[in-house]
Amino acid sequence: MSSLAKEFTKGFWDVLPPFRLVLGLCPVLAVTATAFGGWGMGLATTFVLVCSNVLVSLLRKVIPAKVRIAAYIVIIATFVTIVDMMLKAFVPDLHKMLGIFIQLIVVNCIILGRAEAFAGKRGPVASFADGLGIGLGFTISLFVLGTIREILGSGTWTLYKGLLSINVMGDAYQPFKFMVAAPGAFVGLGVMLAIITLIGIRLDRKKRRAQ
Amino acid sequence: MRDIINMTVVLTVLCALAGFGVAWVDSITRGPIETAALQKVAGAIDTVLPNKDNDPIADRINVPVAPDHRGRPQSLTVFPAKKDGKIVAVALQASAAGYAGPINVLVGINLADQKLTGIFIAEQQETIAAAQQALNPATKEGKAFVSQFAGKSLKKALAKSDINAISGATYSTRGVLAAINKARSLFVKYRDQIVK
Repeated sequence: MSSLAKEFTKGFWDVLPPFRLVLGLCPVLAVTATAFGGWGMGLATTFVLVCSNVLVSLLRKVIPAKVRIAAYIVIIATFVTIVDMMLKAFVPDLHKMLGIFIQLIVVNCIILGRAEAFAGKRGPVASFADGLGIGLGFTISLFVLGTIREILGSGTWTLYKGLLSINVMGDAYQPFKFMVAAPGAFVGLGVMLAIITLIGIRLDRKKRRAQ
Repeated sequence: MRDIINMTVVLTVLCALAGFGVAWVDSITRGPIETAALQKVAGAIDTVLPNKDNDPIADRINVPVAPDHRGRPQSLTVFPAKKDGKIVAVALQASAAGYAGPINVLVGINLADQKLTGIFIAEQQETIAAAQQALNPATKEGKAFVSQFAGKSLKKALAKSDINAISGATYSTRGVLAAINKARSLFVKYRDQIVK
């Protein structure tokens, strides 16, 4: 596999942020009451991550090492503000649903983490691939968790609020409200973490046996 | 020393560029954000301005009014109903104190005879059951109370004797009347600027 493809695909399993690195859990817990909130938040974060990664990478030789964190935060905050205004203007439903968590992307440790660990040392193309892969991995994670919580907790599956919402469980289903409440987020995340870890252990074992 | 200058320059330039970037995006998104916020009142505007062939939200007029107590400029948003390109009626919001909080009313006024075309209670926190029913257009009492305003003349300020009050909710009735009269006085004051 070429190294660029590797930088892209690692975000889907090896360093899958919420489930493998257990990073960036604040939005994971907060906005996954519906599948719509999950992918919306994921894509907003992906946009910020890709843009900040590329810009940090381009400026890596200009930014003095002593103030690099401050510079990264300025770059990240700028893109977050842009995303915030764009969502408010063009997808007000999503903006209303995510609320304060859009601004909180600034302090999402995945983004600052990638800037510090990857984009600050590598070229813009590799940084782009890295940001896109990890961002999409994050989006898929949020979407899956949102799907599970919403189907159990509300009986519906909202892909786009007001346009595409499927009543998965039928009208007779008594919603398990706990899953869409805050404690349900912890339980849902915990179960997901357990499953992903179990798969990870199995895969490692298989790999070792193959060697 | 060179280090410090370098750091300062880089950070300053970066922040300035970030400021320009955000300001540029703001200039693009400001209009759509305002429109998106107003889409929520679209239904209310349709009920108070029934006869029109335009989009009152897209055609909204911002009339500059007296600055607030800190001297910041204020504006009054007026939604015009047009027929054949001419304004025939306008809707504007005003609020007044009710029993438990402000009552915000969207008031539609016909230009030719200065009669009410309708009102819509946009916001209220009344606690009395009678008031809640009367101000909620979904109930029978609400329809009766709110719909009686259409056709009332606003040549003079609306008085309590002009309408059927909500029994048991004097303050709420007063609040609705006061809000309508506030809208009326705004309309009278800025009429020339609304209808140019």
